[in-house]
Amino acid sequence: MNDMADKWIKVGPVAQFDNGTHKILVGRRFVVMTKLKGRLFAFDAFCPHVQGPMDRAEIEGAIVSCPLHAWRFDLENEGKELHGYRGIAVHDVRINDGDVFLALSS
Amino acid sequence: MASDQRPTYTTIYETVRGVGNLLAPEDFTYLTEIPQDAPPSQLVIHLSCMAHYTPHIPILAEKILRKLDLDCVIVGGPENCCGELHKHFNEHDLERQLAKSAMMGFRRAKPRKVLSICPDCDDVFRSHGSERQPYEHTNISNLFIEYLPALKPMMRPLNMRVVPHYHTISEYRQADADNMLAILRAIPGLQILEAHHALGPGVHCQTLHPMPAADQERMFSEARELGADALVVPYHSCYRQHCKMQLKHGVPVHHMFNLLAMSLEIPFTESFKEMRLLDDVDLAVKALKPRIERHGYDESVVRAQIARAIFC
Repeated sequence: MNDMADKWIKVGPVAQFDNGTHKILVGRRFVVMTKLKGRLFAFDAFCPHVQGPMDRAEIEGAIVSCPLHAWRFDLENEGKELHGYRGIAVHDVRINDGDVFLALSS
Repeated sequence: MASDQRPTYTTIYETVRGVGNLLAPEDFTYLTEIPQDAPPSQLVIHLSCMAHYTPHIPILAEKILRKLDLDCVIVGGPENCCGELHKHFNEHDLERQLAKSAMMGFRRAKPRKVLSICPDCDDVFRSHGSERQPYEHTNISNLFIEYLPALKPMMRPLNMRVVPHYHTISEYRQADADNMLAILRAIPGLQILEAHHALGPGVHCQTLHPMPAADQERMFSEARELGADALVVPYHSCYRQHCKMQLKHGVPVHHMFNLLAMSLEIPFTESFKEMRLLDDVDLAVKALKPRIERHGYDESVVRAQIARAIFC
């Protein structure tokens, strides 16, 4: 757990994120947490295009679509945008002793 | 979150992107984002979402402007949606965000005017505009009226008899109808027939609130009985709804730019009409198959999109 003290930020108990989509503030960054295909994902709360609210994203599998212009991000592929536009930041998630920790990507 | 009960933003925008790519000429280009360091362009043509299904309309708009030596840039894609779709879904905060982001994007071209093809975009952008907006937002027909004296000497006679279809629900739609009539009257040889059943409902004919079938039937029956060579429409959405009526009544539907282009001897093809007149989704998919394969699209997905966009 030493490395977790360096970059991992505790964001809450895992049960908190079992259902639905959650917009949380981590440090100075808003992040969306959601469980898709049995896996917990964390990604930026605002679309890199024009800051669309990703907590209201449409979801298909592990693809999240911005509700403004439907830029589509593949969370299983580092947040890559499916049309070739800018991707969204996806943050590493770890679960330890029933708590969720995030490592924010740059 | 997505719902099974209604089409989602993603479904609709993906249809715009997919079918738009299939129907547009290979060399058709438009900007989804104007670069920060873009050179100034005095005019921006706003290619609205659903106008992607009728690409010849923005293409003709651009060609007519070039004929007038006016520089312009076409800005389109869902990335520049006015917000009408979100307005329809009662997501008014998103509608506002969309409209504002599109309008901020237009500024990068430092235009004198931003030109709408779509009446919905006209209305939505107008409602979100501000006095500090550094450009005028207007329907493109106003610009053609402004330049009609310059266009007239370039026009060649068109020996056609046409019925104009129009909408008058607001002063803006009435102005578009007046503009279309003025443009048609400027074309030498064109005979405008007096019809009594050509008024469309609401803002424009469209898939959500189409002209009722009985009214549509009456409009085309009258046009046929009058001996019309064409029904002329002011909007892409009217064009989409009415194209198919040529199959039953033999009266082709033309967007007003078509007639202007014919008179200015600008060639064009109408990919939407070509597909719609096939009157069969499978035939349309077959006709588009080489392009579907070239784009790497999933045929079953595209089939549903074509059904939604062309055969609705």
